[in-house]
Amino acid sequence: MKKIAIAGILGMCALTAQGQYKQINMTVFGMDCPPCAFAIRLSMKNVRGVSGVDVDLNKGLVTIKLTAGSTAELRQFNEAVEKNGFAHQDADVLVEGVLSGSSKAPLLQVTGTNDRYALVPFAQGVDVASLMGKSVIVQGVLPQSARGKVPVTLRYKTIAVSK
Amino acid sequence: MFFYGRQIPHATYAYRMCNAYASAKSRWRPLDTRLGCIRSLGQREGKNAVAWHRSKVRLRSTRDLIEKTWTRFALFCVCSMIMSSSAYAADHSPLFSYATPVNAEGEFSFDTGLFGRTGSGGTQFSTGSGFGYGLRPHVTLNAFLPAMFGTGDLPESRIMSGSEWAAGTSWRFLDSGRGVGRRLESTVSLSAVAPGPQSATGVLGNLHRAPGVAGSLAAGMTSRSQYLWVGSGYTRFAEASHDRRPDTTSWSVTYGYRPSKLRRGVDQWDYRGFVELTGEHTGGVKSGGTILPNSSSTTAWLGPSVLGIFKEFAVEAGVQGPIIRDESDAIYGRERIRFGINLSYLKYSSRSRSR
Repeated sequence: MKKIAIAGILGMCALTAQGQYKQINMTVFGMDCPPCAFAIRLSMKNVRGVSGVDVDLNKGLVTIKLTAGSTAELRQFNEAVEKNGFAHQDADVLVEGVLSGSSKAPLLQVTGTNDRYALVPFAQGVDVASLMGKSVIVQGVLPQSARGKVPVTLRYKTIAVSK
Repeated sequence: MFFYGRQIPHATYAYRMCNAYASAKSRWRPLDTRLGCIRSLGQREGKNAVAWHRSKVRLRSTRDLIEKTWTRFALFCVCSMIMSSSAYAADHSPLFSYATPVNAEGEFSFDTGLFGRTGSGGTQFSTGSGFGYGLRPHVTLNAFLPAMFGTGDLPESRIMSGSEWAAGTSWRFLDSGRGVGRRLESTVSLSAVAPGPQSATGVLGNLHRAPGVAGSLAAGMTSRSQYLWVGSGYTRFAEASHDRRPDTTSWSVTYGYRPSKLRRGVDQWDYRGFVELTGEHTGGVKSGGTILPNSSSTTAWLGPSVLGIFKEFAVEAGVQGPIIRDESDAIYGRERIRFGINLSYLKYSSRSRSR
């Protein structure tokens, strides 16, 4: 009975923890050889909620895939890069969150995390007024941030209501 | 690179010792189950049996504790002596030269290798234990415990290790990611050098030994295709009973290249080749308060080395021949060739500061 109750609570937690980063494609400067990539991969795999990490040395690209319900924050991935002595650059992200603020200054609160970004359109023509207060999936670019910091803006390319 | 010399013999032996340590540790674990044993005895034979067994277990556990402590200490020493070459190389670096890589934060590195210097006076091999720990992303603590065998009557060298133990810190004070795979960086190292249990051979073997300090500075550029490092180091020993080992100034220039076909992925072997130019100037040997005539030396060496890396393992081999040799044959003999092979193991930290 106790086990069933615990399983039920965990199940509820999983259901309520919807929304988060789905995938992060982060450009990392300075990785010249496989041990560099191996170290990055190991560090990132250890972040809770990461299901897979691929590193392309020739492109300097780290692809992070996250599990459903992951509560990993961007800060953790930046730290993983920094502690291995490399420099994180722009990151392409696919992220789910709740839209707030105003239609002129929309904000995205990444569900299940403390990450919050000011949304800036990559190109003109996207109207987010109808999406306010809704859960959305955003694809966009997080610009490079200083060491120990996370970006404050997300330049979105696409935005759609989350199903 | 190994200005302290990085050498250490059989890595396999080191790993065997580590395994022995692990299995010994698991053997001690049964002590933790003694309460379980006592409980079952108590149920079967009563409280007296429990008391008797308890005192017996206590005695045994004290004995085991002493044995465990000494075994741990001995294994630590043995592992330290055997796992070699250093943190200075940290697997990314050329074999003989100064370079900039340091360990990642929380990363351990162990090196083991065999280095040799052959001359008219014989062949001198050196080996040792190198250990590095990344304290911060750009700060690494190093320790190096070499061992030497064979006699060569050769001049002092900090590029090729002697018998001195060393411990210190490397700080990569400049680290600039300039693009995909590209870095510009500079590293400074400072170490204390202490005489090991073995004495040197030849002229240097007759001297009273004293500790010293060693410093080095290296700068370079890395990329997916090419590497370039320049570096220089200086070592000075204290005087002991009017004797003093010679001051040594060392320098190196290294060019590395990775062909396009070898610019492969994370899970494949990575190879690169280096051309290493190294040089050293050693001052005069002070013995009995006087500088021995013609005891200073100046040499330059050139040769190739190849580095292969697979995940956390690296193997490297190289050879060098003299291009400049200004040293007294009467005192030191003629050094003809330097060679080395080095194995590295890196224990990466999977720790994330905040999970």
